[in-house]
Amino acid sequence: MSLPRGFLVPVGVFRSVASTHARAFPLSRRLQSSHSHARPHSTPNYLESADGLISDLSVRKHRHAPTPHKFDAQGNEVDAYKGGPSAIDKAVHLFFFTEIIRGMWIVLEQFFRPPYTIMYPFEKGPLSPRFRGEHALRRYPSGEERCIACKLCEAICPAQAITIESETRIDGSRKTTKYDIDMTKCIYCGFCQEACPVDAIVETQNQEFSTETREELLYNKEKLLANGDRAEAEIAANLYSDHVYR
Amino acid sequence: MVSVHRYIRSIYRVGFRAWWRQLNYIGDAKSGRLVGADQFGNRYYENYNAEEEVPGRQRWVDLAQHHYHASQVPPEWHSWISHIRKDPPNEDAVMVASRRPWQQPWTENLTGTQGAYKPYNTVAPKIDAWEPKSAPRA
Amino acid sequence: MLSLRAARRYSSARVSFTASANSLRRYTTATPEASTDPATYCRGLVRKHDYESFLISKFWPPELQDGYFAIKAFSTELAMVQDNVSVATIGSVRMQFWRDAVRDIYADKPPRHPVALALHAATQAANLPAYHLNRIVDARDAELQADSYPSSDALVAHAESVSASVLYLLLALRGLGGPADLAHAASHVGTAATLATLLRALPHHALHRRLPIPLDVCARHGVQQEEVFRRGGAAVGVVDAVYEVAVLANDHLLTAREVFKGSGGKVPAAAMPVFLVGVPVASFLGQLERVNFDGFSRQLAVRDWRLSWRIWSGYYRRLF
Repeated sequence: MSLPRGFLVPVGVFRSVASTHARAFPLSRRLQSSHSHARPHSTPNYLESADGLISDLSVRKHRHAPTPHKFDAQGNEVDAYKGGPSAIDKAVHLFFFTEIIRGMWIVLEQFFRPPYTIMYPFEKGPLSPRFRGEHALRRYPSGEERCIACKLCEAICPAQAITIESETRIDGSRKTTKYDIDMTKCIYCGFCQEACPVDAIVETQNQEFSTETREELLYNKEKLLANGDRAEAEIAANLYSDHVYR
Repeated sequence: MVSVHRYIRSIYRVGFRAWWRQLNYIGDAKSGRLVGADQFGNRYYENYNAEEEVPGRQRWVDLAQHHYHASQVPPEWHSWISHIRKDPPNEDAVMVASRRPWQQPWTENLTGTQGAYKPYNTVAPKIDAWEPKSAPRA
Repeated sequence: MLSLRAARRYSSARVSFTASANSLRRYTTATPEASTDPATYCRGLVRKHDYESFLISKFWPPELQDGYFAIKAFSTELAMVQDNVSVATIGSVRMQFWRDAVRDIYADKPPRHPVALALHAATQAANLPAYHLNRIVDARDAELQADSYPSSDALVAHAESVSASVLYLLLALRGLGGPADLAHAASHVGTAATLATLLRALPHHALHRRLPIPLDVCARHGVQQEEVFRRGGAAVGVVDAVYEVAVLANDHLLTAREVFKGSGGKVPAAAMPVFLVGVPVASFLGQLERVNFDGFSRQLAVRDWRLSWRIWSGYYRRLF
């Protein structure tokens, strides 16, 4: 029982395919003809045109015809290989590895090419005088601390990285006793230096203050003042150059 | 630019010993004008010849220490080598005028060493820890 | 790699531990020997950012110069806030600081800001009404929030609160707060001064996308803000708009001169240092006329070299 069925099934498949084709063909014709009614003469109907089929067949028939000779306007035959290298030239290039040597020369040039990479610790990329890096607390030229504990930086800091405590001194001046910046919170937006009315807190151009431990980034007042004391010349020079623009 | 020429020319200009030093540190043969040196003995060079150096590599430093680190450049020279200022600090009138007598010497980033910064509180602690006192028994 | 790193640690620790020890652990908050002198600070600030006022200061009696510089530095400091901040909120925070500072100055506990200290010293010496100081702060705060002036009247009102208040304070410093005609003249000179300053800073403001020309003047001459920011003096109608504002400034200057008509145009000798501010204004308006009211002309950026002479001669002829 199983064998005849095995023969029967493909036959049935073929028949069904053939029947769907037979059914689909007139349908597609009908569709196309109705389509051409909607858009008359817009697209040629290749299925109906006989010469479209014939031309296709003729191309297939002459596919293996020899390449035609090329002639110029005077009727002389044109030879594409006429001015090319001779067989001896080709042999010389082949035996003396000239192409390989040319390739190796390019490699050699690339080897000695000055790299576009900036060799970082020795060369540094350009920075803006307004670059915002590590913070510093500045002093007046006389050496007096600038910070007056107004706490505007603490108020404006979007990351709430700044903590200030202040006390009034005997001479009546208000100074900070605690000025902590959590550099792990800081987003280097520069709002603190913009808000400062006395230019006390600034962001220096120093960006090489990475640390090995997290706690080293919890800056206190004396660390910030020490930063300012070391970099004062650079900070003051940058502020001086920038004052024209603001 | 024929780069081999540049390389060999640089070796010819700086000499074999300096080239060997450059090869060990910068990794490229460079030649230029010696602009100055800082207090740590780092030497600073520049070469603005467009045939020889690409932009961004026109100023460089020959760091004095074998265990070199980017933060060994003091701030005044840092702003020169980062192209913030045109002139080196000893010739820059603004930079010279900005120097203060109370300025502290620069120290490199000492993280990972004994000299590393350790945070500490600058005010008295808010909480006093309880210290147990035991009265001696009679 | 590990050993290299360790070696670096060791060597650099040895090299620079001593240096770091005395720089980091030093008690840096110790009171320094010399304190910064507020008067010197104010003088430096005015000299750097408001050179005309610095020139005029020479004609103030020496004992009043510190007060003069304090008031001028206060005005300069507030004027600069706009250019120092990127967000108006930060500017408002700073204005609040100055409002508090004015309150504290009159409560005899000024903040340690050099300008506030100098101003405090000035209030001790002369009777300076706090009202005018607060008015300057409020006007500058409003200027921060608004990006343009809706009408010429708004601009004149702003100018009066910003500059005329300074002149009222200077009159009070000179002990001339009483006479109403002087105050009237000062209000017009002050208005003219602010208008001239705004016109003079037109390229600077345009660079920061602010247009100091009031909107109704812009509308009358078909000036488009964006075009001014992009094309500067080549924008349509900007010359006419600048001309109109300059005429407004000139009108105020003429009105101020009218006040002294009774004495042949001569200002009372005691009040002359206050009204010298009109001399640079007249000089600038003349300059503007010479470049045919092109507010973006590069010639306007050059300081008038005869200005010192004009101020000097103006002082002795008692004219502005």
